Amino acid sequence: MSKQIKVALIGNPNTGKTSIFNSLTGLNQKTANYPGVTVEKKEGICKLDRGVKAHIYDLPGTYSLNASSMDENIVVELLLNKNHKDYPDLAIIVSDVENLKRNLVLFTQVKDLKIPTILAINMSDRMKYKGIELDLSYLENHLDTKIILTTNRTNLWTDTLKDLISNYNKLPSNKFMDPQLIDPEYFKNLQRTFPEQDLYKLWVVICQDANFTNVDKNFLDGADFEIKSISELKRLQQKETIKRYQLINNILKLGQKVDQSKAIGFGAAMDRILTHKIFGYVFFCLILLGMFQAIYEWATIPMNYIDSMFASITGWVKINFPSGAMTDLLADGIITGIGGIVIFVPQIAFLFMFISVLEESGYMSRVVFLMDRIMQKFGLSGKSVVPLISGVACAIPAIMATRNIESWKERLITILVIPFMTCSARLPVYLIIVALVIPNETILGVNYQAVALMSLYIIGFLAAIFSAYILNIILKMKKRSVLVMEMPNYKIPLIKDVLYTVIEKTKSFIVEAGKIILAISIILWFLATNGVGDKFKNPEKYVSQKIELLTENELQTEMAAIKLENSFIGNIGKTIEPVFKPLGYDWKIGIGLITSFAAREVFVGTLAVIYNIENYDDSKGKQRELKNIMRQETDKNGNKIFTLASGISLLLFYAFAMQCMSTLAIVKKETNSWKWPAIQFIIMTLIAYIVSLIAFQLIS
Amino acid sequence: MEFNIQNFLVILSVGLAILYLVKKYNPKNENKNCGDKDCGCH
Repeated sequence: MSKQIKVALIGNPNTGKTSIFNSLTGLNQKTANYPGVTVEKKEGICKLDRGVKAHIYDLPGTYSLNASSMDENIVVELLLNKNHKDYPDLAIIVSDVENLKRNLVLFTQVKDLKIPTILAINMSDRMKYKGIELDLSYLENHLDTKIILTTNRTNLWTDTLKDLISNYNKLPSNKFMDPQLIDPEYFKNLQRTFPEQDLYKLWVVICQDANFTNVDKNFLDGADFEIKSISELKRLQQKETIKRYQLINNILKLGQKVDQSKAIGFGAAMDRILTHKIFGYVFFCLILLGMFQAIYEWATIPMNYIDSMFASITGWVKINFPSGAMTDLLADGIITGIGGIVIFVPQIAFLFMFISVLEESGYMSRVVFLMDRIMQKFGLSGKSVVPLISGVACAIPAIMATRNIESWKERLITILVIPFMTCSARLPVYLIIVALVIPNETILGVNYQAVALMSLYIIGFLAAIFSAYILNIILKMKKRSVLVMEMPNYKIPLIKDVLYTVIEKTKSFIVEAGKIILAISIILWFLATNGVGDKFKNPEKYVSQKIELLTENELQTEMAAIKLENSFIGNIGKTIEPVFKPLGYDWKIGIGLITSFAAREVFVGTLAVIYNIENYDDSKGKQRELKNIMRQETDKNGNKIFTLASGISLLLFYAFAMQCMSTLAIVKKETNSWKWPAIQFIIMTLIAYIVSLIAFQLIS
Repeated sequence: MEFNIQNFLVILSVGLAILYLVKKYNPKNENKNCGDKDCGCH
């Protein structure tokens, strides 16, 4: 078995750890979660010389080993537990060249845990713009480590870093600071009580917050040792930080020169515009509009190609596979259902690409800052902003991200309103309905469909903050959290980092949604192709006109429609139709709404399966595309089903309804009660129904 | 529905699909983390 080295990438938030991780591991990476918490765990493999492999762990960003949140605690727990399966042989501390002093606090703390450590000073290409000069050999000597300058612009440094990783056992593992400098009396007493233990490690264990740590503190019980109060421990932590800054300052005085006259203040000027109380919002709206327009325009060609491809595959299967129930299930159920979601891959990939570019450039942090102002007016504080914005991708991690909100009422309100945010599961539904009912025309270069899509995102956001406002009054919130966040530097996003994000997120969307859609498509197909009663078994007896007057194609189409209406799913649909009729939907859309309570994106797959079974096509080898079938769908009187009125009504229903069982399950888990998900489900569905009803009745 | 291999495969597929959905949405099955396989987050 080849040798394996475990390497932990550790650093403050926004130091570019993930870029270094991507450069070292390429696509050899996987993302999961740390057990029991919502914190993302990224692990990748880096191949070194002589068949040696390095397992690289991209740990959550942390400012110090004094953890104050769940994700910071992950880092501390790992570094304190030598028996942990991921305990690193080597730590690479990634620091930002512009914030070296602050970043070195964490570096010195990790070094004091006696873990071999490399200091990677990242974003080194910015040194010339900021007038920074570093004396690397001086710094290496005084910090007692190996230093590597890294940059996201090139990968020239990766071979040097790989060499350092390969030779990690030659790295010094001496301590940076004697912990007794913090408080001689306390630490002497501590060492006396636990002579076998490492003093600094012991101190870090004692300081961990009991609220979220899993660090074993049992050994402290019964010891002859004065346990300090939390406030006293905090005071000692402050003393430790001050001592570290003093030592770091002394080293940087000679190891780092900053010529402020050479520094270019580009970021501050950008911030003045992008976070301006008027222009900031105007700019944000323009970015959103551009993004949605691009999603529609750029994705059209690949979408049409995918649509035709799935139609051809369905036809090919029907011709080349032995005829029978399984072939029909494969063609009309499985391939059609999966095609109903795969078609949206280009648009979803473009959405993730834009979000990734906004995040990588540093602009998303400015959006959070902008939104904080609005949130405060509606009774929510800044800490709700990040979960709400995360809700645009998926409500589940967003709801979990509320765990860092201290006030329970504020957290509850955020959990309850997050599902109004337009998650990516709504996107396929919006895209197809908007394409069906909103004209593909432009005014002053702005596409109507893009405006409609952007409006739906804004409606979702407005619904979330108005609901929060009402809940704030009902629940009488007393305590508020305060948002403190660091604005990262602006930077040009790297194509490779954006691509990794797009591939990872799109794959996850397709795989997770695909499994549910596949299962529901199979069941739907079965229910739509089986039934009881004479009308289902002998549909030719119930054809509206004399059989002789119809062509073969017309006859088969009418018989397929009769069979579908009298199948199991048809009977279910007809039973529930009166509920949805006032909203402008027929029974088939009603079935789509019911199935999408499992997950919203199932709607498109459901309609694809139902319409494909119903539409007999004798062209052999080429099925009609879903959008065209939906566009031509009519009721018995020949009236179109997808009109502006029914389309808007449907869009609004999806904007407001709580149609995601996974979200309800996670709300139950986070609130520890079925009461809140039940209230959420009932109220959101009621709002959706009433708004859609009003919209349909007004427009039609 | 008469018995033949295609019908058997259809019944098997429907059974597996139902089993998958029941397992996925079983409220007792809460020991899942977002990002894990089958967490329901998409």
